[in-house]
This record gives sequence, structure tokens and C-alpha cells, in this order.
Amino acid sequence: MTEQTLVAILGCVAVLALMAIRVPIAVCLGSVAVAGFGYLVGMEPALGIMIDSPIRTVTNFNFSVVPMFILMGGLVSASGMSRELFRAANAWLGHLPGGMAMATIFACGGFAAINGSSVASAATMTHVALPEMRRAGYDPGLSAGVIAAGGTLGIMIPPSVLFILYAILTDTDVGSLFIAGIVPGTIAILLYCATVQVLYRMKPQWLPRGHRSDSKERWQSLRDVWATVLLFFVVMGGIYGGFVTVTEAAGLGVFGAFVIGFARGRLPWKTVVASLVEALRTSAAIFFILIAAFLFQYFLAVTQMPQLLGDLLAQLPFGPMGIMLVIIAFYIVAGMFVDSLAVVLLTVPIFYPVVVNLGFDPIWFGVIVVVTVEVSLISPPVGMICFVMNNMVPDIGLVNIYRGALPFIAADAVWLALLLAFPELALFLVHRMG
Amino acid sequence: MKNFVAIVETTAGYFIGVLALITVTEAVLRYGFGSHIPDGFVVGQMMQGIAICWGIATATYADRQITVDVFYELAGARTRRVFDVLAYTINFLFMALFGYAMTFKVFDILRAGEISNELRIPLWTGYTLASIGILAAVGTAAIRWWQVMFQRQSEFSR
Repeated sequence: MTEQTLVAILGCVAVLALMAIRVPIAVCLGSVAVAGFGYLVGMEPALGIMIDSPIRTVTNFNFSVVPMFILMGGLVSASGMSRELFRAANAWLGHLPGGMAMATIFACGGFAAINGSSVASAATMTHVALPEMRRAGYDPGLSAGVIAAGGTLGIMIPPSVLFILYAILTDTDVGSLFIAGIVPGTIAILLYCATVQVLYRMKPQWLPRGHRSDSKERWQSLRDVWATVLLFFVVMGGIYGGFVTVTEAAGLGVFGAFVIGFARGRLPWKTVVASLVEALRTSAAIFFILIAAFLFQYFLAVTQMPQLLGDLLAQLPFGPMGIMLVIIAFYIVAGMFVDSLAVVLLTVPIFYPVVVNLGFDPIWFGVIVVVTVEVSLISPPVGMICFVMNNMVPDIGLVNIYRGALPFIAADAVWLALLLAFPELALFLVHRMG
Repeated sequence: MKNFVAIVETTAGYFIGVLALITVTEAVLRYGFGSHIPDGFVVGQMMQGIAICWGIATATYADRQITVDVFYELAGARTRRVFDVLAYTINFLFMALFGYAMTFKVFDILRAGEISNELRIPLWTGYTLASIGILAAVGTAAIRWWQVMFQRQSEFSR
């Protein structure tokens, strides 16, 4: 074993050890990167990357999509569009078996189309849909599980913060990643609804039918979702049609969300300021990790860790798809114990070159990574969405939320298998992109 | 201190708003009128850099950095204390290094005398405001380290 390999392994162990004692993830990555780089190359070059890289990251205008899409999500959350989506979906689906659960999933999918964060989607829908489902006599754990699973759609259906981070880390086109998420996101909605149907067959008392809305109510409910549809088409239509860059689309999304909310009297200035502050808080936390992730990439480059890992994986007797399954298994298991954002930022720079060398499409791999993160967001013991929901509705209990989410993890497994078997599900829209 | 943090966050939040406004205006001017905001790109970059650096400072004070909590939550009081002392010390040391590097960068740009293309804005102004944010993060990391070490105020006991 060479000195570089040993330092690389020790560096990764040190990062995990620091994470375990609750050092901020950015500080774990950054301090190990500087120390490791300094040991191998010298302290002066290590200081050099510390001087140049962070400022380049925070002032990179291409990365402004992160705060802007977060701000757009904050504005649409504050202006009550999630409630309109739920009302419309429930008016059309509520009377069906498990109808309100399916309406929640559709509303989550719709909300995901204008909001890039899974945790924010789940938190918003917990406020909107959970009281309704409980009032309708739904099992509380299952209701929470439905919302948790629906919330995960936030990072698959564009705009998605995780796709943006993947694009930044791998220098992949974020617009293509967004487009690649549309069909898999739609399939996920259908699979989650199928799961609801299976659950209804097994335990109909858990998901009682709601009342049937008349056609007037249904069409009226659709009138309210125009804002969501308009915003989605402005942002994604602009990107898909090649009319605007992703950064411009993000800016237009913020502007559109602000104008719509303001014109409808739902965004008092105090709420706008609160959304700005929230966007700042989330963006600062993400940028801090990005700064450190780039420092860590320098460290990985001098240790030649990605090449070594690539050689190691290539020697496995499984073939490329077998190696991909090993990587996916790693992501799912790691995501069960470590924050999924940290897993992605730590491992994508390592696995990405390996995957590309094996001949896999980088956009498709981005979709696969996001699916595995979705699974980890609702799986024990560190399912971030379940944790957030448990804080919001502690009377249901974390175990019951996990129990409610479990059937949807099975749906995610089917979904993952479909994407592995048919990569075109993620790629065909990208290939047709303008 | 909390009021000061709130004022800083609100100001930096407005910078994010201005960043969005610049982006939209640039897009409208470019596609609608074949024009652009003079140095809009540079100003946008600066706004973003300043907002993020000040955001890091306030996040450091409010313990809002992203952490892995699973082992901490499973640990007993004594182990948590050990974790706290180690974590906040490492955090402070890294921030100090970060602050030093940012200050060095500002002096580097100041020496080079870099200016923007159109309005000839000296670039050190934006970088200085950003680096002051990181220096403030060193300060907030020091305050939190002090509170944890000598007043036993971890995030969960505040």
C-alpha cells in the first residue's frame, strides 16, 4: 500500500470519526482536506487552496441557482400553493379507495415541481394534508408515511437542490439533470399510488374513502392551481426549450413566485423577509459544505483515491452492472446512518469517475444517486424526513412514522430496479431536449 | 447578540433578493432589449459572496451547520460533553484558518488592484465585506467555543 493510499483511507476514516462526534460536516471535510493535502504536498500549497478555493465557490455566479431555487421554494410554501394542490387533488381523487392518500402524493408531486427540497415538501404537506387525513379517519402512522414518501419527490421532480449539487460536483449540465428527473418522478408518483392501492386491499379501515366532490367543485379546485402550473412551465419550459439558462430560470422562478404571491395578497412583506432569511440560512449551510467538498476534492486528487477505487472495483468479478449494484448498496446503507447530503457530497467525487469509466451515463447516475437518497430520507435510523415530521407531530411517534413509510421503501426498490433495467426512462427526454 | 444576528441575517437575506432581482433584470434586458446591467454579473457575484459568508457567521453562532446527530443523541451526558468540547474546538480552529485565508485573499486582491470592467468598481470592496463575514464567523465560533467550554452551553442546553 502506498503512502497516498494510506493517507486517503485515514482521511476518510477521520472524516467519519469527526462526523460521529458532531463536528459540522463542512468542518470535517475541510479540516481533513487541508491536513491531508498539507501532509502529502506541503502546508504552503494547502494554504494556497484554502485561500483561493472557498472565495471562488461563494462568488461563483453559476452556483446562484442554489439560493434562488431555495428562495422560490420558500415563497411558494409561504403563499399557500401546497394547500391549493391538495384541495384540487383531493377533489378529483378523494372518493377513490385510499383517495386522500393518493391526493396527498399527487399534491406532493405538484409541490415538488415548484420546490426543490424534500424536507420542505414534507414539512409543508404535514401542515396541509395530515390534519385532513386524520380527520377522515386515516391511520396516523400510515398518513405520516404517505407524506414522508410523497415528500421525497421534492428532490427528484425538478427543480431539485440535490440535482444542482450533483451538477456542481461533477460539472454535469443541471438543466439535463432536471429534465431527467421528470419521468422518474412521475413513475414514482404512480408507484406510490399503486402502493396505496395494495395497502387498501390489505387494510381498508386504514384508508377510508372520502366524499365524492361534484363536477363543479372539481373544476373550481383546478382553477386555483394555475399558479403552480404557470411557475412550473416558466421554469422548466424555459430550460427544456433552451430559452433561458438554468440560472435565469431560477431568477424567473423567484420573480414569478413573488409576483403571484404578492398579487394574490398572500405574501405580506414580513413573510417575504422571512423567506429571504430562510433561503440565506439554508444556502449558507449548503455553500459551507460545498466549500469543504471542493477542498476535499483537491485532497482526493493528490491521493488518487478515485483511480484506486476504480481499479479496485474493476477487479470485482461482477461486471459493470454488478459494480453499480455495489455502489447503490453502499449509498443505501451509508444513508441509513449518515446524513444523505453528507454522503452525496463525500462520495460522488469518488464514485463519479469510476462510474463514468465503467461506461454509465453521468446524468443517469445522478438520477440513481437521488433515488438512493430518497430511500435514505425515509429509512431508519436516520431518516431525515421522518425526524422532521416527528418533531412536528410528536404524538404519532417516530416508530409509527417509519412503519408507515416502509411500504413506500418497497415501492422505491421497484422504482430503482426499473431505472437500472431501463436507463432510457431517465434519459429519453434529455435526448429530445432543445 | 440575538438581535445583532437577526439584523445581519435580514441584511444578508436582502442580498439574496437583490441577487435574484439582478438575474431577472439581466435576463429581461438581454432577451428583450439586447442590453445588460453594467457590471451586473460582478455585483451579483459580490452580493452572493457577501450573503453566504455572513450567513456562515450567523449559522455558526446559531448552531445551524449541518451535523450528524445520531451518535450524539445516543450518547450519555459525559460522552456528550466530550463530543461538545472536541467538536467546538475543532470548529473554532478550522474557522480561524478559514478567516486567515480569507484575509490573505483580500490583501492579495488589494495588492493586485483588480477592478470591474465597466463601472471600474474596486473588487476588494466586495471581497472585504465577504471576508469580514468569515472573520465574524471566527468570532461567533470563538463565542460558541467559550460558551461550551466554560458555561456548558451546548446546542441542546441553550
